[in-house]
Amino acid sequence: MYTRSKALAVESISVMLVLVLFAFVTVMLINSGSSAYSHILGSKNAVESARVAYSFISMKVKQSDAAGRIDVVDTAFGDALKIDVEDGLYSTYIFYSEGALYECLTIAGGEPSVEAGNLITKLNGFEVGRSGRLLTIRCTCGSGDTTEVMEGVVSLRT
Amino acid sequence: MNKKGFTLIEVLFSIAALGIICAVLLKLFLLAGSTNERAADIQDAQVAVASTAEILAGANSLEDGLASLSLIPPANGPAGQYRLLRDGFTVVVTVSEEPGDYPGTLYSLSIDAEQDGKKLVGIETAKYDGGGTDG
Repeated sequence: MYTRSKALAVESISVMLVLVLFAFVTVMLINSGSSAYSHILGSKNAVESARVAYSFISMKVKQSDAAGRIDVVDTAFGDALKIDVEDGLYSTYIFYSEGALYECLTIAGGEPSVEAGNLITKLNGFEVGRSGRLLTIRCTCGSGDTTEVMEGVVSLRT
Repeated sequence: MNKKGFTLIEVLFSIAALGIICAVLLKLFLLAGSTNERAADIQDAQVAVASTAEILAGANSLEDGLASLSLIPPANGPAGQYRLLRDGFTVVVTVSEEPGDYPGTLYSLSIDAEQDGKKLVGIETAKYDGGGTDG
């Protein structure tokens, strides 16, 4: 009887130990799974935002590529892409301010502003430069190991 | 009513079954991660290829475009295959002259991006020297 109850106790303790071990492994697995998921999601969002910004600018440039209509100008928000529309009556500015890329339509000679602008996408950095007929666009999104930098060149045909 | 509870064998079997399910789930996460990484690589490769095409299309001549990419064409013309490193990818530019009755010369361009010797993306385009550009 004593031996049987001792064996039962050993078995109960073993079961509990295995359950504790299983609980520990489960917690570890959930932890690593959630961190993997958030990393994948962060990386996907960074890639998506950078792509949206780059494609938007690239498409705008291609749409409005007429002689003298597109230029990189210095504004209160740093370097911005200026596209003249409606025979130069209006200008569209694409600029970066406080973590987001904006597009703002102004009367010719007007200054762009965040209030009057439309948010295109959230970004962590945006740079635009011009060298002859080549526009260099650099969009940065995400932080830490999920940072995505998309840098490309768009050529002006005119 | 059985008051004995679960035996060690029963618990071990349950845990083994749950472990298999967890391993499958973990593998799915790893697969999602690698798929995401590959999608980002393909996207970056697309931008590298498009930028190379833009530089070639925007240049006054194909020779000027190749020079902008630090590529030196042979003396007998720009036709041939060129390799350059761009954004971590090997960009392969293949230029061939298209025969035809043109005042200038029409070149067909094949631009591919490779990583570790494997082609990720590629585009076909053309450039007309002697009367404008076509990308």
